[in-house]
Amino acid sequence: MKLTPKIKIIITVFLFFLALITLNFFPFSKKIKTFFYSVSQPIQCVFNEAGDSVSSFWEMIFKIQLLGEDNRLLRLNILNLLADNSKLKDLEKENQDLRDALGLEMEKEFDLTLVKIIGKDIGQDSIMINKGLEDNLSNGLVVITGQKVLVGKISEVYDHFSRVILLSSKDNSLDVQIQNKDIDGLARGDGSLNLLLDLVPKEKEINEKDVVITHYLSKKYPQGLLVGQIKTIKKQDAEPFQIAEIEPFFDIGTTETLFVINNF
Amino acid sequence: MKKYLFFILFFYLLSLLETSFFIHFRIFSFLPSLILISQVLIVFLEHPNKNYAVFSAFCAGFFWDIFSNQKLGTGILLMISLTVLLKLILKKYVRIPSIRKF
Repeated sequence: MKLTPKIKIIITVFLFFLALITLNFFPFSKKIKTFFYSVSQPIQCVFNEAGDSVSSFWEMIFKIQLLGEDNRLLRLNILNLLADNSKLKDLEKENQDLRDALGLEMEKEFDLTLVKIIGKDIGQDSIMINKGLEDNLSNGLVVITGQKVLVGKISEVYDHFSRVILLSSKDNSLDVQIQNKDIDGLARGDGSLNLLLDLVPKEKEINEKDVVITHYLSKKYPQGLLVGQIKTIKKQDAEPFQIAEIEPFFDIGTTETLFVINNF
Repeated sequence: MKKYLFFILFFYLLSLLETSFFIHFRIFSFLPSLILISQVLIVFLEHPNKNYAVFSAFCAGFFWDIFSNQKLGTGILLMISLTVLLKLILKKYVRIPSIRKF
């Protein structure tokens, strides 16, 4: 039987493919691939690194218009994180204030409500706190710090917040005494965070740095709350009483959390 | 002989580039097969009466199989089949004298 060239070619091609397919059933095909991989690996590494750096460059160029949006989102994230951070700091401060209050065992002495200052009006000697009628606050309740320093009393109550007039308000006055001395007087607000000690008889000797506390006769305030310390004393011959300037203990500039005494 | 050597080196390098360099330049997760495009171009540029494209198809298929997960011979079979088919069509039905270089 004589084969034509065309049939020879077809048979050769068929056998060739049959051989190739058969190779896959033996480990030899794996050896061929392994050989090419091991030879090509260094070149592939170089190409891979080059491709990576070139594509990164072009990716950056193409995505440059998205940078503005990314920047905006990142700024938004920063603001959110700052807000979270601020909340955590507030909680930490509240926690510390509560610890201070518990350290002084105020909770045994008074029924307290923790409040936060949400606004300050130094010109009118008043502050706003974050709790009101819904938290059972009412007019006239006394406001103190965690260190038993008298701050003022609630003058207006709203649903969710209240206004506190500070001791230094001209509308405020209270019976006080000098600590460890049998000296009584009247502390009255002079405005602009100033406080005066009045109605102290001339014969009574008061000194600078003397500590002023609330008097036991005062019905509006619990006894023994810290008010301030004597700063300067003014004695006038024509007046029957001496007047002293009190430096209040409360520092409205740095205080953020306070306590309202619900009953005493 | 030089042409055969050229085809071997060309498709070897092209396979390496496609699997390591151009893989970073995918367009919408799609990378065109440079080996296939090159083989089709070779077929179109070759004179219909010459058969270098069959050898280049073998090289293209072989290296395609080597650097992919498919079984050895699959790529070769596909490339040679495609080349023979294209050459038949070009020989019988198409005449593009201006791009015949090989």
